[in-house]
Amino acid sequence: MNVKKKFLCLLALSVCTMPTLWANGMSSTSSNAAVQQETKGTVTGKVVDKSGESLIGVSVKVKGSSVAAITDVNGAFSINNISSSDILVFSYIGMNNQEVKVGSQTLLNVKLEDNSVNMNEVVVVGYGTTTRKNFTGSYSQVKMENSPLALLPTSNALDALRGTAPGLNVGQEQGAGQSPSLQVRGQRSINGNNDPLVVLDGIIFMGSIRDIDPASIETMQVLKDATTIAAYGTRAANGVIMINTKKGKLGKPVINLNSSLAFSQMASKPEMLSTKDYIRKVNLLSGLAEDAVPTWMKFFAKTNYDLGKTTDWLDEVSRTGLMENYNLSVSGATDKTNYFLSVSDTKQQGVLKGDDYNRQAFMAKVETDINSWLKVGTSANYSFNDYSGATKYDIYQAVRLSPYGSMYRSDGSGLPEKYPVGEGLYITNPLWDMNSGTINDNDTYQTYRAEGHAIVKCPWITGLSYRLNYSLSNEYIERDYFTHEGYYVPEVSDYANEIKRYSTDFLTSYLSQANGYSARTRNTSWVMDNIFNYTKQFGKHLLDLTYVYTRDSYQNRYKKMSAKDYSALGNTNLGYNGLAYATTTNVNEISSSKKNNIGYLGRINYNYDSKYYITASIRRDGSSVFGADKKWGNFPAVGVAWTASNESFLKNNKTISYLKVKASYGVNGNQGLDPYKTLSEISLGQNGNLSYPFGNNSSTSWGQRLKSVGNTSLGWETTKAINGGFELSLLKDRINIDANVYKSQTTNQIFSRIIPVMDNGVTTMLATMGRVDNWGVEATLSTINIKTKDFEWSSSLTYYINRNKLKELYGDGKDDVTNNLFLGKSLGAIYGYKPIGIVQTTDVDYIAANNAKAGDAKFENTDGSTDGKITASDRSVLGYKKENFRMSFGNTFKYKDFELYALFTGVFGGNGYYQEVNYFAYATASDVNIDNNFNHIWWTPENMSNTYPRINYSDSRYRPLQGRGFVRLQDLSLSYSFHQSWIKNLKISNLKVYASAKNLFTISNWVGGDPEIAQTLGTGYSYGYPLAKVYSFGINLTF
Amino acid sequence: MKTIKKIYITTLCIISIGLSSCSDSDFLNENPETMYTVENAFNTSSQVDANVTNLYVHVRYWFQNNYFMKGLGSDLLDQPQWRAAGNGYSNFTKWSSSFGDTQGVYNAFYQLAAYSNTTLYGANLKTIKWSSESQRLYAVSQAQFFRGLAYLTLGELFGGVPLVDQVYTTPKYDFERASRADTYKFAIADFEAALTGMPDYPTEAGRVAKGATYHYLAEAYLALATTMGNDKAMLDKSISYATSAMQLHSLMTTRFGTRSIVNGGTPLNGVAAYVPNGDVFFDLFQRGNLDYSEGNKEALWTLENDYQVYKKYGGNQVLAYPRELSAVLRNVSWKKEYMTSANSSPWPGDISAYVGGRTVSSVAPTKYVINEIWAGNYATDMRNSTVNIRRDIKCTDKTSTYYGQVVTASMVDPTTLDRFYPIWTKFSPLDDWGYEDLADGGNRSNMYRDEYACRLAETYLLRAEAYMRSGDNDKAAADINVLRTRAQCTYKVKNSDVNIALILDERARELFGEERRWCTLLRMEGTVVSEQVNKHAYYVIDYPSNTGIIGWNLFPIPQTAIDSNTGAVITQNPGWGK
Repeated sequence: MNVKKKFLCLLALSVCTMPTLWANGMSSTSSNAAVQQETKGTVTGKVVDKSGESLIGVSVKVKGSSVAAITDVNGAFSINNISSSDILVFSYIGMNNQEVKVGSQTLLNVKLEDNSVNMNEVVVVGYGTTTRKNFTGSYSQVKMENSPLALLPTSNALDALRGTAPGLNVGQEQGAGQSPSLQVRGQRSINGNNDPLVVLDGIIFMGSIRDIDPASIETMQVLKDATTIAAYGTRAANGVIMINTKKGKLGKPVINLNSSLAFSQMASKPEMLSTKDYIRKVNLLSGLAEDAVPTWMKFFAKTNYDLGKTTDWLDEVSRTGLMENYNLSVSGATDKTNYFLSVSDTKQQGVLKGDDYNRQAFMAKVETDINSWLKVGTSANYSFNDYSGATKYDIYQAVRLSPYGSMYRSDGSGLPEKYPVGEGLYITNPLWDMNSGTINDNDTYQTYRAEGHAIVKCPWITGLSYRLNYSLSNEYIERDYFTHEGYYVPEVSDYANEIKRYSTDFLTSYLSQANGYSARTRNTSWVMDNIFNYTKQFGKHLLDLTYVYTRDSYQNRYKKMSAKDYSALGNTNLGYNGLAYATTTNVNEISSSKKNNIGYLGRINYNYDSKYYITASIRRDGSSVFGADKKWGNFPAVGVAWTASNESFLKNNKTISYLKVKASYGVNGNQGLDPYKTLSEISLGQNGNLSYPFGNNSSTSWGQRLKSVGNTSLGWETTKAINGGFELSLLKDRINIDANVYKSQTTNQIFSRIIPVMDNGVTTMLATMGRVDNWGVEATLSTINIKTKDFEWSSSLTYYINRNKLKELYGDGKDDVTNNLFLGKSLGAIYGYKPIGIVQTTDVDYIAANNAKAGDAKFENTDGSTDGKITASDRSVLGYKKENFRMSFGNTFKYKDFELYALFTGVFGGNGYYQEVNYFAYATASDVNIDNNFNHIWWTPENMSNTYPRINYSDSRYRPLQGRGFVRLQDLSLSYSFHQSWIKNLKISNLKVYASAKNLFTISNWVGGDPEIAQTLGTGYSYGYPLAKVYSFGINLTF
Repeated sequence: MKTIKKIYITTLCIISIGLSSCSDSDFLNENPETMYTVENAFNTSSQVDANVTNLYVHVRYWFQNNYFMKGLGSDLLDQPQWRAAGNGYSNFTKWSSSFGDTQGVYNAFYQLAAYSNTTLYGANLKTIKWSSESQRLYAVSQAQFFRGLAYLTLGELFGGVPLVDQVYTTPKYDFERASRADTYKFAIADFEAALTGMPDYPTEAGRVAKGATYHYLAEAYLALATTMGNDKAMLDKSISYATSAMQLHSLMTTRFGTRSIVNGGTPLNGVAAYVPNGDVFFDLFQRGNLDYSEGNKEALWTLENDYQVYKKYGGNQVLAYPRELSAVLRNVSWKKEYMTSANSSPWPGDISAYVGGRTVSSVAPTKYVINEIWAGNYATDMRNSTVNIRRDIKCTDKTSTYYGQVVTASMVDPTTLDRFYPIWTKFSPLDDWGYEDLADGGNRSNMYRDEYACRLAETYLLRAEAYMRSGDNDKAAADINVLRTRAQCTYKVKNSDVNIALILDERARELFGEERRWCTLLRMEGTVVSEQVNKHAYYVIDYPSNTGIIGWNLFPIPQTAIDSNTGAVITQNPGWGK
């Protein structure tokens, strides 16, 4: 494409010109500084509102200093010791702040304007912007720049949205440098993608969130209602997150340095059996008396037991995590040009050993008016993410391992022992991969992104403009991995070979197993938007028309080669760099997939007299991923709003300062499909891995078979949604309420449908069917509770509830028990036999009917069968994984130059919601007798618990649920800004020091770890990444 | 000036509109560059051959790597008590129409049928050029053979099933069950058609030929006869096809192959090949001995495994028998009074070939296989010789007083008896000569010898059963005694001994671990399965627990197959609810 070249040139040009701009900015700083050497005087004045009434209690501050005054009953003020270069800041609740440069004036009379709840706040909508007062939809905005949120330690931008934006669920990061999961307004798609669309500076962002440096973000907005997101048609069904990066501000250039250091610890450590109870447990499971000599202990376990030496494996695998953040930015703006440059460096060590992450990010942004009708802008980003090093997120072993296992070899070398209890291929040292030196791992991600835009204002038709956006992104992923022969060291067979088996001689026979691979990924994407806009005010009529034509493309290219067997070479010194020396080398995969989209959008915004608003739009979208017959779809939307407070009958109301009522309806799509899924794929050759060695000559033939059945009639998942809401401000905006209710219906779900195996030997095929409904309520109450000259307390309370219901499935009116899908019930249903306590010796009838044993879990005879037998028809829906509702409560306290911010978040259960199976919180026996377990008792004939089954009870029907509801002090930060005179003398315009903490405490009844991710010992040998408690300290310096 | 401005702007607009002018539909067309789709599935004859290869790959897994097919939960095998905490396969309360293993088998053999249908479609395409017609015919015959095998197996396990002779690319949802007899007849038609292009003997090791086809025809006619009330004509067909197999193949009766040459053969892992006290039954299961081309006249069809290929590409060319099927002696504990050293086990940490290798015992034999079939008259039998079933294992703990002495059950802590059972040489090599991967760091979990899909010994038992069903017990006894003679048994069965139970016993003695046991039991119809299982299954007899009742004699049609077939009703088999 020519356009690529064109914009790369443009980009290069602008990057070259940037240092010049910066230099200009710097020189103007020094000239300003020279002016400052002046005499000081006193300034007096009076503050009034637009009707000329005196305003009492207006705060008057000298910008960048702690000098301040407050207006008296006549609205008058007086400040001493002021120089002519000072700027006075006037602020008053319900009014816009006003800044006035003192200059030569000694008498300053100021008129403040009403500011109905930041009604002029810019809302970035699809392919354009509007102001909050003209906006008919529903959105949440989170300010990052200069907000307490920016002080919280995080390596991921989206972290700031957790608990602050109602209607949005942000998951926990599973490891250093990982991105959280996101869900807007509930799960709409059963199998498809539920991730919201991310739009960066107005252009669809197809990269990874880790490439957006949190330090460069100004605001984030979550667009939720159907009309607002309709601009993005087929990719909008799951909501849109608009991320807007910082811009230079008019005034002198600013150099900002921010540096922080954060320490972290595992937040919810599970409580394990005491060593004494551990031995009792294994004794009993091994058929021994509980106080018997533990004859089942072998090798190291036995030695350690004799020595009384124990290991706390969780302590061993965890550490005090550390995150260092450095960010330097330079920004500024003149009337015509605006620039922002930023570099940052983040080093993160997670709470688990070996979980290391590093990022360097660079951003340069410039926008300039070329002439009266043409404006061009460009930005360039580079980010480098490094996750290298053998990492093991699965800490299952650390939880399960016997406390008598050995971390190290007995030879005092300090090197790890692979099999801490001597034997058991699935009982390996959790630090083996990291500390044995037998793994090489390179795992890096590099992204280059360039964006350019041009805005043409048509000079002969006022209000008509054209904008061209183009962005291009290339992500390069390098993944190299090597497993040396030493990794395959065998289990211990006797004490004599314990150390010998680690010797080079001994390990030589494992050279044939040494193996590695090298994989390269390149993800290329581009977006091109052509936006035509016409805005015109005719008397009381405001008309805004938009037409968009857009195309985008995403291509993934992947290459992987691997090598195995170094027995002929005799060494593996080169690790993954020596793949070419192996006996067997393979090209495992070369793949490429491409997804292209086209969109046409037409939109009308109209408002009459700032009272009545209507927005109507239609988008027509096409996508390559769909079946030949279903490439295109149409997505209409309409929204209305009424600003009642602008009507004459409310205009002068003392209580209600602002009231807007709004409603919208729209249809959106969800792609939820990867490229080529509508085609039938076959596997063959080495890539298909169907090998058969006919003849006895050690060579193979390859099989070919059908891998998947395509479906050419696959189309969009469609969501129809309505939204209603209001915004209300009371008592001069001291109390603000923003509430929305919504309802959505998602049809044509993309399903992996079970088809008769008789057809073609394949049991599933993608198909569109089924319907999921969601409804929800979101409300935010933000109040300014106290405001005095020195002290301000504001708070924000949010409430969010979402329910979904599966309305239709395969059209046969039947549930899909295999996939836990039940008609008329919420998604995330947990189905099975209902446990109703424990079978006691007295339950003779139950025991007889079910061949049960006392101490078994007892199940409810829900079908009421007279024989008392528990059969498959006794199964029912036991609960739901979905939450009931969530609330969060944020508070900001400002006292003089101190600012304290605290955010409590809570996810609540109840009514059967927010439940999860927590098997080992109740049961004891696992498939490995010597496993450790959570600390709890078990049923015995002497102590007949009705909660915990007998020790050796194991039954796949037993699915005990536990509630996950929790309340957490998620964020806490305290900052202090220096305004003393020495600061000024050092030419520092702002110095802030701060301390902050995350996840200080969590209140929950969940057993086994963190409730939010339902962390516990699960089936499939899993245990989630632990939540971290983080403490950070930082300094923010602006010149 | 103003005109220049207009020109600039107009030019810019033209450029930008020009950028977007390429065709929308071209832009949305999918063109996968790096994957194969059905569009390019059949361009050459080698692709048809690859489809044939796939049939072997698929069957190999289900015949050698899947233990359920070998009879988990039947009279032969189960997950031992300590592995399953009492929830093994013969706890029949956990069986239902959603039971994973029966569903797995159902799907697997329909997959085999579908793969065969695809192969036949490709082999019959006029567009494909073949080097010779016989090459094409052999591809067709192999596909027919495997489709026959698929429907024979489905008929035996599930009764009558929907018969599908084509591939549906747009799914069909209205399949209906055929009768069991028609299902067998469909299989027979395929096998008989397959004879056309089959060579007498495998053209290369691993291929099917006439011998295997005759064998399955004998089995299919026997099954059809049974379902038709022991129909004489069908039994005669069965007998005649079994005899045809015997005309091409013969039992091995004297020592042969890799480990039989006095002071000869190729040593492996420092162990000499020659086994002086071996016997012919032992030789049948030694690496290098299983293919017809390796001198084994008894082999009808052999599943191929190869260590070098496995090492390079992985896959299912491996027998994990040592690991999965053998006793875990290192986890057996002494009774208190016998514990004389620091070690609780007579074989602490021992994973030598002597104790069966690096075993985990996911699957254990029942007492029926361990003791009952070898009791009384049946004690003297080569198949129960010390090289074939190792029953007396000596203590290998040098620090124990009992070092070097045979450890008996009475010396063992009763709670660990469930991991203390004999070691079959079929499953764990006698010594390190059987472990090809030791030099590459293998830990005696796997072996890589070939495995039988079927051998002539079973053909004799099929024919014996056919004779018995046609009332000719003399001939039935004679056929059984052919095997017993080869096994140098002192007791030869009499015609009065011959009944279903004897045939099942003899099958267990000869074919344990090779036979598709559930196929045999369910093929015999009536109460055979419930009687045999209730008399011998692990959780019924060995470790009694809640086993439920076998009120069925066919596996359940998987619920997914019934539920997904929305356009017509597939009726469930009796005993499995609605």
